Amino acid sequence: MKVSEVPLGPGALAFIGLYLVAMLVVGYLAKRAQRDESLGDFYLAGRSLGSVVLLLTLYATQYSGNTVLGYPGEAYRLGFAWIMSVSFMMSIVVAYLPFAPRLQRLARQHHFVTPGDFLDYRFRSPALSYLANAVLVVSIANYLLAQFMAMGHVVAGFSGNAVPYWVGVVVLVLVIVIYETLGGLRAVAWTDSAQGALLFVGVVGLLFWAAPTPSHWRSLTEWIGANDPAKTAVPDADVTQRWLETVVLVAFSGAVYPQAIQRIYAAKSARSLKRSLQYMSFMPLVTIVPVVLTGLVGLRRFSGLEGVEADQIVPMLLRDYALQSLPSYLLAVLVLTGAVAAIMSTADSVLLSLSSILAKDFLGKTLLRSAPEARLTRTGKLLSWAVTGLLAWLAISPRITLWGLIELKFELLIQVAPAIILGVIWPRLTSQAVLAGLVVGTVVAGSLALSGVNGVAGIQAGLFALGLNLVLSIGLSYRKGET
Amino acid sequence: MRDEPLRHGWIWLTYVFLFNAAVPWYLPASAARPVWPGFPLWVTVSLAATVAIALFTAFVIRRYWDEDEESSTRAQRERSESRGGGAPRH
Repeated sequence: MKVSEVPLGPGALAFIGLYLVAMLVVGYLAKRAQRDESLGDFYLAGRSLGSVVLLLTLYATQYSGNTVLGYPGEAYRLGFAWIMSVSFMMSIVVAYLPFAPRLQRLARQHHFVTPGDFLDYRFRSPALSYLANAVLVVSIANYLLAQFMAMGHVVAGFSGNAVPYWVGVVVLVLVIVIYETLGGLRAVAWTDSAQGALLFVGVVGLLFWAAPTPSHWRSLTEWIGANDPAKTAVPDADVTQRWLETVVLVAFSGAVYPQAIQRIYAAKSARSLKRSLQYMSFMPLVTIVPVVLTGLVGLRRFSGLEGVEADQIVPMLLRDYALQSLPSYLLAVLVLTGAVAAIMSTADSVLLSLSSILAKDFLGKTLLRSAPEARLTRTGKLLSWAVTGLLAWLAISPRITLWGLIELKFELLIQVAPAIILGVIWPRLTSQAVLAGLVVGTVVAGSLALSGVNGVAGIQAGLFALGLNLVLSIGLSYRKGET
Repeated sequence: MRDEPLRHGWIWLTYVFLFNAAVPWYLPASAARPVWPGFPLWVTVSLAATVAIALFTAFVIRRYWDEDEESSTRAQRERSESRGGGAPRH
């Protein structure tokens, strides 16, 4: 297919090209703003993020390409029941409240850079720190791989394969690793600000086009009720139980993402963090509701899509819409760029966290134990390139699929939550108890997921493993206190 | 001592109530009829509960999360007032 035959036309590709160049310029400007070669300056932007940049980087990092592309597909398949994802995303902000105030103060007092720094400070147990960091690395490496694959799919999908999947992966990944290694978190947060704004404009644009007024919503509800009534029905007991369990699972795993923890550390002040979290609590409403409605509009416009075909609903709607008028074409291009921005803004933050953990918590405690900070920072940049190269190779290698492991992300991540959240708020928690809980929780969650067991005793496998983890962490801490 | 959300048990009970209200396990099958603003009744109820969660969260953060800066500013003001200085007036 020639570029002139690309569904959204060469104009869309040119706009995305311009956007990518702008991201590289931002990376260069962030490098100019760099104060020194310390880990705190590179990985936490010198702890200087004000409330607006912090809000936009939290937003752009938490909402990925899956929000713009995957969620409408899920709404297409499940119907109105996917409105449950509003409470999933909201639960993450609520989960910060018990521990973020204390963690932010501790991070400033003790100059934490990674989640592992808190664990070292709190528990002084190398075994616990190594295991927790290993769980974090495995979880977020899988997540990063998923973002790289999404980049290839979105570029190939929107260009009608005029730009092949592998080119999409390589070009976008290269842009990310260049601006990230140039300016660290400063570059990531500044690009996230632009990307978060694009994402927001994109989803509001989707709503504006898909179903802008209550009369459109009523007409849509009536059409779905008449033609596919299961998709407007009140969810049954199984679905509502799963909904409540997933709120807990997403809350405590989402809150301990290393990139989320590092944004708590990077806040300029408690006031900046407070303000950004206040606004973050409303973002699920203005982001998820539009994408769910878009999926439902797609159900009426293109009914009959089966399984994963429904994940193409946004590209199909945008192609349809772009043909209507010049303003609608421009809006479609903005939404498309918003989708690319959403994936990139999540990937850059995850990549930065991954390199910080590998450089500081693994190499910095072994091979480079006595190295100066500047050397660790340079090593972290090299690790970013190495990790990017490896994961990009996995993403473009058609014979290797790790999607099964990606599913493990939340189940594994949540096993670290007791060490971090309880560790912050409960002085009695002991290192031996939390280590025992983490070992058992991780082994049980991993084994159940890899053997295809989704639930135990009627509850989700990840939560069951978390339950065992908590019983051991709390029970053994009490027992130690009594002896 | 700094105030923070963790110190108030009623905040967490309120969250348990609101998140449960957002999940329509307590509504009958007839709650699928369209109501204002155009969604099935159970969706409107669920969204209303999530709006309440967002508003409540913003309130809790504002009211029950003490800032270092605020504490130090308040302490400075109290010291200044105890010396009879008070805030400068223009």
